[in-house]
Amino acid sequence: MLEIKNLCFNYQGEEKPALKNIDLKIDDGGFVVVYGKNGCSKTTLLRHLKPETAPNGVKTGEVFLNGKSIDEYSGIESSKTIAYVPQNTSTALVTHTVYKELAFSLECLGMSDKEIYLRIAECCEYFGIGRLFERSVSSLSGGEQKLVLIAAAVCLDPRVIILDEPLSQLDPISCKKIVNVLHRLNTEKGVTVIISEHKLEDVFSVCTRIIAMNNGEIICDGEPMTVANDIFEKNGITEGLPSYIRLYHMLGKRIDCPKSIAEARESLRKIDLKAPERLTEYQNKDSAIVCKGLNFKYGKNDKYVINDLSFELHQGEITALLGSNGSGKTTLIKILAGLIKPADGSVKYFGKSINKIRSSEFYGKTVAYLPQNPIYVFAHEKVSEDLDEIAACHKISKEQKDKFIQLFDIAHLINKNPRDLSAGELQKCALCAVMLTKPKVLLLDEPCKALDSKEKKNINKMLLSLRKQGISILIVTHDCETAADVCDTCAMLFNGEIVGIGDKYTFFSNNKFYTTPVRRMTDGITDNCISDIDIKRAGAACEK
Amino acid sequence: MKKGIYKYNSCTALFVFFGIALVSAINAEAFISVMSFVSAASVMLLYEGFKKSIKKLGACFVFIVSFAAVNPLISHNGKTVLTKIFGMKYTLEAVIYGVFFAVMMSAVMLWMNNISIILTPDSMIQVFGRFFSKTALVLSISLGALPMYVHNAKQISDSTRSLGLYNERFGGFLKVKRISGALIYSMPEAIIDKSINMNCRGFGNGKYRCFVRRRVKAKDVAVMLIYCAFFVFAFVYKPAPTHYYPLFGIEYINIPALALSGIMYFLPLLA
Repeated sequence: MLEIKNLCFNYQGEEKPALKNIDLKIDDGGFVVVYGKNGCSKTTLLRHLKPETAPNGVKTGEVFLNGKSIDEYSGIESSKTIAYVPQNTSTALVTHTVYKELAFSLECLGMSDKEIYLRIAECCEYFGIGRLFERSVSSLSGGEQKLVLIAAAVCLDPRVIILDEPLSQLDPISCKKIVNVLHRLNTEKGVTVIISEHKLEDVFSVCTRIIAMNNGEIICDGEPMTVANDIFEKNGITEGLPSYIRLYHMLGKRIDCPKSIAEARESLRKIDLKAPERLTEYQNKDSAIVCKGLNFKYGKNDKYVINDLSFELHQGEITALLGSNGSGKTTLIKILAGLIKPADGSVKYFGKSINKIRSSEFYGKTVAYLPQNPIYVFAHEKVSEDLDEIAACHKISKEQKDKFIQLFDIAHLINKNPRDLSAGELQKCALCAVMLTKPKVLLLDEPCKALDSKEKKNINKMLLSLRKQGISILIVTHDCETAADVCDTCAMLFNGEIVGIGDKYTFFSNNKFYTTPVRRMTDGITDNCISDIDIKRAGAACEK
Repeated sequence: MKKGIYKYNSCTALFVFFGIALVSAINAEAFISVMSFVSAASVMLLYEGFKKSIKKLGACFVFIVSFAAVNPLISHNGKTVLTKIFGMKYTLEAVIYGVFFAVMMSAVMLWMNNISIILTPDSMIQVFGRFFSKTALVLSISLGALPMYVHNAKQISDSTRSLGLYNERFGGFLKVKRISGALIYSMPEAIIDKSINMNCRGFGNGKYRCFVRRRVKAKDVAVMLIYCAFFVFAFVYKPAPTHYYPLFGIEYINIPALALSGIMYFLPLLA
């Protein structure tokens, strides 16, 4: 049993405590989810459960595993008993080939070659990653890398496995694969699984307990359904709860509380849900970007990543390009941003070929690109220094700069080091930085990656306000809910081609698998329901 | 990758490549330099493919031509005067010496490149992991830092470009300053994270034992012994002693010695 007794923690130099009076008991064989928004100290709590990852700072209280303080565990005991999978896969992968990654922990324990080979062979079979055995880890997709990390952690046969936001950067299909693997480990091998997440959609049905945190404190703890209802009653972070629980509360508890999407569908059949009208705001049909016949591959002998792709973005329109990890989304957005050149095809901005626009005019006035990892936007010690540099380069006055800072609500963050900001804060600052270039077209690569639902809503609000100013926005994402909330048009990228495109209602209604949870619940029951807003409107119409 | 000498244990391949690089570095014979260069280029083509190799071979060609052109400006030995520059002799022999010396240098560099294909950051952990875990960690991270550094620099450069910063003609220096600044902040963080993750998985407890799917076998020992004999032979016998000054010429050709050298250089491709 894992027991945390009165744990308090302050990061060095910080007055505000990161963890306050944490008391917890986690029984063997549980599947526990630590839930909360970005920056609520989920990671800090998890890092205290493994002695090697405990952060530097002032700590009081103690963590016990099977009655023994974890600080007393030797390095070998700790690695045999507790496995830790961090959020950032790039630094978590310590070797270069899959089989070496799987063998690493076993090598550290001094096992013989025969034992190691047998153990990694078993793991490969169990996780279904045998085909990746000889591959280089850098050639794997995000989901595959996560799977390899989990397999490497499980090779040691630990009793507890701790995973820090394992699903936050994965596409819906990879998420399901990872959850299935963790569920199997928990039920078949009795491994205690402890994960942190800010979205419960995928894990709600498999977890046995949810611990909700806010500002370093535990606010709710118990069985999933009890905690979900508690969060609603205490006005907590409801956006991260599963869609069917949100539906139950959005419809004013007029249906029985569903425990799955299937149950929600059954409940919805019993009430007369009216189809709301479609929300369409953009009217302009003039093109901002037109690309025709794009082809691209990285190496001469490689497969085409972008395959005869044609696409149009209208002025003042928000379009989402959806697709799984590795479908070519980032490559396409980099081509549109002029950072890589296609092998064939043309890209035109406002009727002018990208090759004929001067660099200073293109990046200064036409397009802004936000990379997948927003930290690359910052090169200085303070956010304000980067904003000043960009403003000076583009001759933006102090007043104009301050207006942007106000619009993005980052005044309290500009004197901080960008590396100390939470994912949501960093994304907002980066968005402000790229908007200082005053672009007409905004290209965003996974803007909601690793953000909690509340932060996502904030970013979405900002994008909508930018659209009102006439800016065209292209978002590359695998988050269907964000696309349904904020976009006008959606397109699906598969195998380097656009296989489906249309306004968001048509797109998500036509899709059977790659669609929003709300659409899955209402498919065949009512039309035009793809997001929470639509459900609320449908519910209100039904009440009338 | 399981082609040529790579079918054997990586220690065997390392031993062979290091030995050949050493022999090539101390032997200035024209025949041997050319043979070493062709063999190193063939091994590189085999392991790295045409696209990567052709760039490196292009760089070697530029180096050879430049060295051949510059050497007569420094060395004025030789009898065949091609021209005079500032009253100094520009001789054919100095050009020939420049060509062969540059070929020898290029061959050594290509052999070092072939060694780097085998010697990955993981190898450092495998070699030093058990007894010198901190050294292994430092070496592994240092070797792995270069690709990480290049990747991060590319990402920051792209971001700087798309922000419209320093895209004007003379903005290069400021751009480099910005990229370097960003790297100084991001690199140590990544390195610390990596070492924590290794520690988390049990590294550094003194029990490390490298897992090798292909342990050193009798055939590896046999290849190493054969190469030991080759190396000794290469130091003792001269297949085609070459003199460059005052006139370029080959003193004699020892056919059996030349044939054995050929086997030594090209066996890694056929092994």
